[in-house]
Amino acid sequence: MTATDTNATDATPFAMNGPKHSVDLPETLGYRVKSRVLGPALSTEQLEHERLGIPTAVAVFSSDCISSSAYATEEILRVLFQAIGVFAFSLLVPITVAMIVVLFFLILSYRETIKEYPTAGGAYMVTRDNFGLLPAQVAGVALLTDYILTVSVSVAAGTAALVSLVPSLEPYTVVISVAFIAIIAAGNLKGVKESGLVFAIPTYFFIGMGVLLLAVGFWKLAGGGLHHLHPGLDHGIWPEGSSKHGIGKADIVFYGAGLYAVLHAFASGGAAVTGVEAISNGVTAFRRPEWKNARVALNIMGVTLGTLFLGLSILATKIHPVTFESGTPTVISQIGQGVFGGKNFLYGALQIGTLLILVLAANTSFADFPRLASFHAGDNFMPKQLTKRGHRLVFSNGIIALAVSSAILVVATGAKVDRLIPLYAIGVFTSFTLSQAGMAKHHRTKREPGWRRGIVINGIGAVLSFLVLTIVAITKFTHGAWVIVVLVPVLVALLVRLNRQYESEAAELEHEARAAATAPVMRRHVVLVAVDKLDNSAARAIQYARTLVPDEMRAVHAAVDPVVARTLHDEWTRLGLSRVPLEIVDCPDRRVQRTLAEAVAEELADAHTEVTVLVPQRQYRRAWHHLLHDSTSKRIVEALAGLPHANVTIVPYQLGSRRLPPRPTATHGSH
Amino acid sequence: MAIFRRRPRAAEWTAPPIAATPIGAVVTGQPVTIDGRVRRVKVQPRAGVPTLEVVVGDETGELSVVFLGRRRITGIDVGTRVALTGVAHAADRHLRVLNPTYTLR
Repeated sequence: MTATDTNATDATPFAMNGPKHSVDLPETLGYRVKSRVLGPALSTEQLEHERLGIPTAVAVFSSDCISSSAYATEEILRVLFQAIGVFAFSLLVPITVAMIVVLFFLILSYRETIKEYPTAGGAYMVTRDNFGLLPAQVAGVALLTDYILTVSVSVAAGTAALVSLVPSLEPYTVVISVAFIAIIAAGNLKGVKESGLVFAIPTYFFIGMGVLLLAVGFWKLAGGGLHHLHPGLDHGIWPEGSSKHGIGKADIVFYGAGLYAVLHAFASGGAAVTGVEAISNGVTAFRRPEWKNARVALNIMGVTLGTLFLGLSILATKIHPVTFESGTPTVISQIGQGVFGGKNFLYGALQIGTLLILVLAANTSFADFPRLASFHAGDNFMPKQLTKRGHRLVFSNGIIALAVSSAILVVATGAKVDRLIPLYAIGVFTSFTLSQAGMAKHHRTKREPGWRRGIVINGIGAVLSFLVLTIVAITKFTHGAWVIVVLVPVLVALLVRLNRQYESEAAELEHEARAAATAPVMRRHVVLVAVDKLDNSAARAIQYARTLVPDEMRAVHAAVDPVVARTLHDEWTRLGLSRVPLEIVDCPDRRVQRTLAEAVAEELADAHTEVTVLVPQRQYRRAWHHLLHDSTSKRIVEALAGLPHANVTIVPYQLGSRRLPPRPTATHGSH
Repeated sequence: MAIFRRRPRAAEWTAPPIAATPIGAVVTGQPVTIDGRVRRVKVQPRAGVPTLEVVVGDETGELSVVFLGRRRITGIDVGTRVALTGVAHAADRHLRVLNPTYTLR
């Protein structure tokens, strides 16, 4: 074997450490897990390529609205039962009809909104456009709180449907609800927008089951085959301790507390129309011509909701279901039992359909909340992080915020629909009122063809929404609505404060930026290399420093330990780096960052020097490796951050990137 | 422009005082004895003229001390207390003493 051969074999391990020319940039473990769980990252180009046809769009946008029929009747009944007992059933249909009238006008109003704001509809945009930023914050925050509530209410109601079907699950109501929220959030982080079918099947399944329920119900009704579910009730046995059966005729109940109860019941029924705004938020997702298709979808949604809601209320007056304190079995499940004749296959299908559409309704909020929050953030009223599209092109932070807040709400209320309902609908009607009033103003300013008709429609919409809002706020105030009445202004104030911060930051950052960029530079540039000891991490920094051409350059060592300082001193004299002298600075109080900051400040003192500090930083491969070391380099960066014209360059050293040549075991390292 | 005020270092003074001039009161061109602590050491690598430059300070000020022809003086390290006798002259921002006699204390 020749000498050259030996050299070649010796050199092999070093050659591997030397400069490699293929770029090897491994992804972090976290990212690999994320890609595995959520699927590969979507490119920005893939945004908004899918347009929805009417049937799919109805499924995607109307699940929130249509699903309300699963609990609206029950919530009206619950209030009526407590107040007027037996007369509850005689007032159920009139209240339902009143709610449907409101629904009718809201649909008419939103037809206008869709036509006038086909690109970016929604209460926030309409209000901002016509009334300015501050009212838009009110509309937006109100809507955001209701999106959170939509998730909580829908999931709680969906769980109730499941528990009605399988009563043994009752102890796990809260856990099941939170699990549903987690599943929906995960699905949204993955980006479920692609799959219209996922929406279409449950929505149409529920609509189908609902229509079947009504058809069978009315057929039996006509044939006289529909009976009271709890015959005992007719003879004065009441759930929930109502004592009103002494009152003789229905008209008496319209007096005093009775009238209040009716309004309260009406307010609870207001939950039914939440979700009407969903289509106007998403007009851009429709196939061309967008606004026309969106209008058709809105009509279909309105008719479906109206039919199901009214039909269920009529059947309820014949079947006499009972509302339970625990929330289960639900009224719709009792109606199903009465109509289909017991807990049979059709009843099970109805319950599953209810569960699915309610879970989907929650999902609608997961599409709307993050987008609305991103509008707020785009206008500098919410943290900028909400505008960031994540891995799968969805607003990940908004999704997480919604999931967390709705889960908290579900846990706090024990996943009980009747405890959530009083909080519900205030926000929606606030935003309805503002956006409809905004539309009326829009017609008046723009005077497009048919503007007079538009003013009338949106005017009625605004007045009606405001009326309902007032009724809801007053009758439900003591039942929990006060939370929202207090919360919304507080949140708006918070957003305004946030906005002021953003605006002042932006103003400062933009003030004479161009002049600052072209201003004369500092005359002198000093580079300081922070050196702890002479290791590979410091070597990287020294090597990097040697590529720079400043006016002055030196390494600085803050001497905490005199032995280390002396060792470094000796080693440095042997290095032979003519351009990089070492300065050892006494550091009697052991604050390395402070000593370095003083050295930098001294260089800056002449007011015409730019200082760069090179800070070697070890990059650990595992998170727990950080625990083994203090983070002096981070503290150095923080200590220098406040000094003008002091700049910090982190020189990373990747631990575990070098393969060491085998070390003779007999000798040990000098330190 | 004093961005940072120096830390007070009065607590360092533990050795018995000798007849030394406070550094703040040193004038140029005359022999002077000072008594202070080595605050900084500048290590010149093996290139050019061998020099050892240190900064010595007491609570009244700092001056720079240069030993020509030497790279290392055992005992003169950061934090050691030293008494020096020499002639100070003005260098750009500091007073500077070239090749003083020194006593480690």
